[in-house]
Amino acid sequence: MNDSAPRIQKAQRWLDVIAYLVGRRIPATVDEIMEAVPAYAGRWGSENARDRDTVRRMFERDKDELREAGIPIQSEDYWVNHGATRLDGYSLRKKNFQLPYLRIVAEAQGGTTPESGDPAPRGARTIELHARESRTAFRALESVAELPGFPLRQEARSTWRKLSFDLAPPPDRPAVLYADRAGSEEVTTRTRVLTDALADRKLVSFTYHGIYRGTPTNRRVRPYGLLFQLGHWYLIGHDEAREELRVFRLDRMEDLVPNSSSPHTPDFEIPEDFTLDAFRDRRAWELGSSDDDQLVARVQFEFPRSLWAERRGYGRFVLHGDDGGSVREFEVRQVDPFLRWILSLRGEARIAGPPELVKRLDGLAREALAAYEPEAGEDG
Amino acid sequence: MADSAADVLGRILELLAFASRSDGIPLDEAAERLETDRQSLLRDLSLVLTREDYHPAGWVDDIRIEIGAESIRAFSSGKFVRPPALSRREALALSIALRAAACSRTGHERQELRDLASRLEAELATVPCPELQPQISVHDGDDLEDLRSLFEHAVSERRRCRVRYLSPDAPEPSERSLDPYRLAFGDGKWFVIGRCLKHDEIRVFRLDRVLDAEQTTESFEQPEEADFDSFVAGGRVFAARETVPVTVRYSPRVEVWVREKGPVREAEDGGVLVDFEVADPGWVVRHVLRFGAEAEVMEPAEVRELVVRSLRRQIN
Repeated sequence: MNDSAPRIQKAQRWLDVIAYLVGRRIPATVDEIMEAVPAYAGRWGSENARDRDTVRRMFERDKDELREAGIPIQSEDYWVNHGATRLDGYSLRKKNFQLPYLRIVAEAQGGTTPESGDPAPRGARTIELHARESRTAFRALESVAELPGFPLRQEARSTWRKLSFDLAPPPDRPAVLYADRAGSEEVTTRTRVLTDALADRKLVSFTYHGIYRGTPTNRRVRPYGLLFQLGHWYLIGHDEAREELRVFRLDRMEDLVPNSSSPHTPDFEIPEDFTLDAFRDRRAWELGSSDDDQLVARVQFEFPRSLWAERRGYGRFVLHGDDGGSVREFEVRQVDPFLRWILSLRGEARIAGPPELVKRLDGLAREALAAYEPEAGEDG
Repeated sequence: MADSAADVLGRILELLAFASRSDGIPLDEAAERLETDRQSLLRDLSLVLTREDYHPAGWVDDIRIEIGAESIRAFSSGKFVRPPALSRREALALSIALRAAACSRTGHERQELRDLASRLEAELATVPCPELQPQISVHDGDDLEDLRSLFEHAVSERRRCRVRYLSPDAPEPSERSLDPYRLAFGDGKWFVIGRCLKHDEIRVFRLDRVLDAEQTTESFEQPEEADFDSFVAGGRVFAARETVPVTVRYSPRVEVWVREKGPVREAEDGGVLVDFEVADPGWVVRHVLRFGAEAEVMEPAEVRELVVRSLRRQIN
């Protein structure tokens, strides 16, 4: 290759590929692309087989990366010479490449009426939205883009910008203050790794610091879902060593690595009966594994804590007390987090049954108290 | 982190679309729209323009750009007049966002939003993103969408609110008038920061402790000098008005993930010590009790006493 040739940057090379392909009436063969795009043409035209092979592979990588970036280059076979010759080639249809036209229509009985937006050219794809749908989409994107640790924050912003090409965004909403935890950048990195692993169905390995489990453990997990709730990100996946579904908090993971072997081949399939909804709105004590015994705990809430429990929808309401308090029932799969939660309510909630749980909470409180009053921890 | 080629290409394609409008686009507006600065924008443009340097004779460049003193126009035979359709990741972001919004609605509205998500992800994306949408779920609140909307509106419109609020440790809920200034989110909970007229000072209210709220017809002026950023620190939302220094010791059993959350001091037994500035001592008591015997308030004595009192209430 001529050393005096200017260095063509990757983004320029990609732009050349797109400019060459988009809007062509018929697909282009690999030979045509190699000859037309300057970054390939020099080495493709050489006599050296290795150069030609290198640049051919470069195009293959470019094609994959462009597709990943959202440029829908399609492989097609097509006929030329009045149907006498069949060729393999690549195409980039304008209607697939470009964002469809977005238009706001008024909600009207018996159909819709146009409200705003430039008319799309003939044959262009148009998507009609109601004003409130447009507003909801903008607001929803703003919310996730601000969310600490959201893995697709950048993509939420670019989607917002693309929608704003045709649609007027709603007025700025009042700024929300987000209190980022220390370490939220690491969590963002982990969510991105896991998003890719989920999409590609690749196994992940990590070290996990489960609270109260003592030493960290190494895990190999098939990721089935990612869940953000109560201010934390969770991975729900099949733990290969334990052979069952487990829930992992992302801020307790270390050394997260996806399986890099056979990158284009899925390592597993997500079972059809798996649904992330089953894990939503569950508290730590409800996120047990399948072999954990489930017990029903009755909790007595004093007034006015009872109002708070009702407002939050904790447990199931059982009965009101004369003093304004209430009794609520909880399904508990993991006893420790449940007891620690009750303990944190500072005596404004007490376990009314079953007796073994009452005893365990008593024991936990005594154990904690022992640090402050050594003699108080002793029974009796 | 340096921009990847995909980032640069994405910006160029967006820029070309905006600059292809009949009047082009002012440089500053383009920079603002693309969430970048003027210099980076011109650097991106130079990548398009310098392609002429290596294009062979006969190459018909489909992109022509005119850079004026203050604006840019692009011509591309219709190829780059619109932004690219959504990539797989972008479609996924939209889908998750709409499904998260759907989760905070109920009934018919929830279904409508899910339908909208399905429609847009199918129609706006360049490639299908099969099955992935339901595998990522965002629930950024505690089913308090009604209150959030009410306060969001009240903050925008500067409308005074009347609330029935359950303070921690209060024997019963109290009626308050509140001028809401900001919404905040931290530690999985939503808060409203505003002036409590009863106490005539800015306070932080946890939304899950607001039992009822309504907007009044009265409006208010927001103090210009208020520094709302000082209300969020260390992953928490709190009024930093009058704080108490509290030291907590965590046992070796839990120190590893306490360590990840912020600065710690080493304790002699292999555990760690953390120094907090606490506006509400009740918060640190609840926090410590969540660790059972694995955390202990070291000082001050008054807060230790609060922990002891809480624990004694649980002992039969």
